[in-house]
Amino acid sequence: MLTIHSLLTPETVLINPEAEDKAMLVKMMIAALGSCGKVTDLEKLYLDVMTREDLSSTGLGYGCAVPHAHSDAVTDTVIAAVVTDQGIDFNSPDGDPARLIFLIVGPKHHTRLHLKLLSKMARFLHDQDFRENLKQARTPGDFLNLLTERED
Amino acid sequence: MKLLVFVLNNEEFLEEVLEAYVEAGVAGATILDSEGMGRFLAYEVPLFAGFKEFMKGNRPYNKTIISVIRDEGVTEKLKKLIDNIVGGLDNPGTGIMFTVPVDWASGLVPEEEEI
Repeated sequence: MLTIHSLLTPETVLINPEAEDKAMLVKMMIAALGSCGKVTDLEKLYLDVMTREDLSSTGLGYGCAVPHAHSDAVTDTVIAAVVTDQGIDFNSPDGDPARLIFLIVGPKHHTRLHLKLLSKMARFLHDQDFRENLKQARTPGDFLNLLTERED
Repeated sequence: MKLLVFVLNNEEFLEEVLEAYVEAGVAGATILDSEGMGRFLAYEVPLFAGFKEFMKGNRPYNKTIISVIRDEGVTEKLKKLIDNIVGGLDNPGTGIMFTVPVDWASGLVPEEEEI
């Protein structure tokens, strides 16, 4: 079964990173993804994610955002996640800054997987209790445990 | 008795398709404006906007024709006619046709008045 938590590692979950804006946050998330050994070009991946951001908002509202991109700069689909108390502007429909952010990136031929992950994530994040619990996570371990519990 | 559902992807064929329905012996049908899931997600839900490039060549809207069929031979006749019109339903992007059993119905055209 496709799971989000299996595509995350403690290294790719960042709690309160010191990012001032979306661009800086995305760079930090991509740098974290570098640890998984599946990113071949960090700068290219950053540009691909920001190009998608230019297309339309990936902010879902209610303090959540799911930036994502297909890219030649990754060899497999990987995810990074951020919990940030200060919030980052993702131009969300409700105007609220995002405090819970998932970055999904994958190669261009992973379209179907990418769609499934996005849809699953959107469904989970519509659950108010679940997303508020994730926002309260203080360690990558707590965060991954919450996701694992939800998905198992 | 069966419910015949046909999602016609290319609306330009609608007139010919309905003529085929009549020719095959379908007494009446209801035509609905419809839209593919992929198109809706890519164009109406911002999160999925990045998938627009995968929609190239797909038609934004389609028609769904529903009808109740009493004689199962009608479906076979109709399928052949529709295949000729849309270029074969086995080809992707032409349409989807299926039937499901109907165990009760009211308001249908009486059998003796069917075309």
